[in-house]
Amino acid sequence: MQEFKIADQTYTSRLLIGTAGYPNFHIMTEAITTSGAEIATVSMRRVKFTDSSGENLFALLRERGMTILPNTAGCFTAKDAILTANLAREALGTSLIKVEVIGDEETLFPDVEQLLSAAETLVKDGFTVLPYCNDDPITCKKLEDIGCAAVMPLGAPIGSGMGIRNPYNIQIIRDLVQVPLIVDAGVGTASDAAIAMELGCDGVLLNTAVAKAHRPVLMAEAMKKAVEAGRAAFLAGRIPRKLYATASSPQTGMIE
Amino acid sequence: MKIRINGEAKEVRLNINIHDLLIVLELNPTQAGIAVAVDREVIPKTKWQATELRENSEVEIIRAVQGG
Repeated sequence: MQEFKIADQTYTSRLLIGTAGYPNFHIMTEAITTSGAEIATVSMRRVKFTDSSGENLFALLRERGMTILPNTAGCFTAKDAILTANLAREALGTSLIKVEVIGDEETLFPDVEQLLSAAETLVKDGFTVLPYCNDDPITCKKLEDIGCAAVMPLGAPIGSGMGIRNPYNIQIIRDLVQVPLIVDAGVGTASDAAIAMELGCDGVLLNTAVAKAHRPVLMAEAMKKAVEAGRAAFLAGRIPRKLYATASSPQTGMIE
Repeated sequence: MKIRINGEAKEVRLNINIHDLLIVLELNPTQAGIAVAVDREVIPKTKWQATELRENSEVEIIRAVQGG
C-alpha cells in the first residue's frame, strides 16, 4: 500500500494531528501547519453562550483545506457515540468519524463491546468509521470486517507518552488487516512515531506529544520528519536483528 | 414555556421553532459548524424552521471544539 488513502481521498502526509491542549490558538495553528498534516481531529461539544473569543476552529481548518475528523471523545456508550457522530455529520458536513467509546476514566481504554456496536451502526448509516481501539488484533480484524475505513489501535494510553507498548501486536495487526492501520494515542516523542511507521503502519495520529511539548511547533516538525523517516525505513526494509557482529569492512587484503 | 438547552433550563415563547430559538440565543442559524438535537434526535438544518419545540424539550446545540 504505497498511497495513503481514506475513503477514496489520497493524502500526502501520513501524520494526523489533534487540535487540543496547545498553549494558545496561534501556536496550535503554527504547529498544525508545520506538521504538514492534512487531517486534523476535533471534538463536538455544547456551544458556550458566554464564549466571546471568536475563535472558530471549524472555519480555520476549513480555510486551510484540511480534512476535519470529528471524534466521539468522552462517550462511554455506543448510544452517545452514535448521537455525537450524527451531530458531527450535521454540523461539519462530513461522514468521517473517529469513533471513541471509552470504558474507563483512568486508563481511557476503549470499551470494545460498545465500540464494535457503535461502529456497526455507524457503518450501516453511511459513516466512514475510523475506530480508536485497543492494540488487539482480533478487535482490529472485527472492526475491519464490520466495514470500518481504517483501524486505529492505541500505542499506549491517551496522553501517556509511553510510546508503542506492544510493537508485536501492532505487527500482527499489520499482517491481519488490509485497511489503513493508524496508531492513535501513546506517542510521546519522534522516535515513537518512527517506530509505528517502521512497523508498517499507514499513519500516526497524535496530539498531546506536540501540544504539550516545551516547543510545540518544533515537535510538530520532528513528528513530520519521524513519520516520513519511519515510512521510508519500512519501505526500504530493515536488516534482520542478530546477536553477534558481522563485519562491514572487507575481511581480505589486510596488512600483515 | 420551559425547555432545557445544553443542560440548562430556559424560558422561551410557546412552540418556538429551532431557527427562532437560535436567534434568541444570538446564534446565527446560517453559520456553518453547529448542529442541533432535540430529545436526542438530530434535526437537520433544513428542518429548523419547521421544527417547533414543546414544553420540556431537551435541546442540544453543539459545535466543533479542539480535540484529539
